[in-house]
Amino acid sequence: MAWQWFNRLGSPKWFYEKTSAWMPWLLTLSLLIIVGCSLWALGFAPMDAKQGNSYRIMYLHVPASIVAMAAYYVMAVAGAIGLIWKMKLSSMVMKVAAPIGATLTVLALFTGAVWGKPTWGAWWVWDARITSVLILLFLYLGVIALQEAFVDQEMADKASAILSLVGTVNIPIIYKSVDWWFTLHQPASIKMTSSTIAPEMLYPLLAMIVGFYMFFCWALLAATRSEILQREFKTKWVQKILMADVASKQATGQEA
Amino acid sequence: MQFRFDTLSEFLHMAGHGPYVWVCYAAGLLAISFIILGPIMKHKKVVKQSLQLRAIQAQIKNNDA
Repeated sequence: MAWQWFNRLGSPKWFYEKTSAWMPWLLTLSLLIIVGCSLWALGFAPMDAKQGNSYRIMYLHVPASIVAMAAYYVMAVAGAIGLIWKMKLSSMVMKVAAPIGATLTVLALFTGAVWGKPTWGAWWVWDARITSVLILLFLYLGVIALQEAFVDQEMADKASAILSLVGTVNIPIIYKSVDWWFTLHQPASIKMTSSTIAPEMLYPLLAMIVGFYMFFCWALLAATRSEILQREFKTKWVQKILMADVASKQATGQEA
Repeated sequence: MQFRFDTLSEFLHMAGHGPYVWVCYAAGLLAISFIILGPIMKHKKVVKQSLQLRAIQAQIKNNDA
């Protein structure tokens, strides 16, 4: 009985039906938080004494980086569950996490480069943190490429799950890189016990991190849902959903 | 909480850091839009596939009749 939820969670149909109601709320709320925090960060947070206004990039750079790493964990854990218990839904989550994570990693690298120019005087340096995040991007691209490389979906899922599990070793390296190699990138400013950042600068950052996490949850659910429709295409319940979509589109088309 | 800039042009300029800051937020907007559009486009593609399948099935039925 205790494991019933686990079996249910493995059912794409159950997952699709249960998540339907959350989707618009999750997207609206996360976008409201992100837009609100962007305004807060751009206009209302105080200017940094050393870096001036360029530090406002932090409010995008830090949340994007944190969630890009979290997305990798999600991908690797989902891949492992798919590999061990042959849970189809889990493999789908692993597959769709890769492009989302890759996009966030690109955003983190890009904002980092643009922030680096006025702060360090260089767009790019082969610093330990930056290099390990670049490797993270290549791992994501590897998973995406493996998914495309196989005709057989089960083989593609197995191969990309193994790659994402092997790549997990990179995550603690990214996290610890600023402590192990004291190169250019600054160490973490937010810690559980003591943060080296003023409260009026910290609150919008924490709120933005929450907003990015929520957006990631939405993105992961939305992408998984569309992946379910694609993979379960031939089942009756998916055809029913698709036909309802066509019917509602035709109805609005006639009104217009 | 107060707005830290006196004029709009100061806000855009950000004491010389404006271009760096704004290009980052534009990139953020782009990335978020890209992530949102992904599942929407895929859903559309699957609906289209379903319609094509129906059309083929209808054709086969007609030919048989």
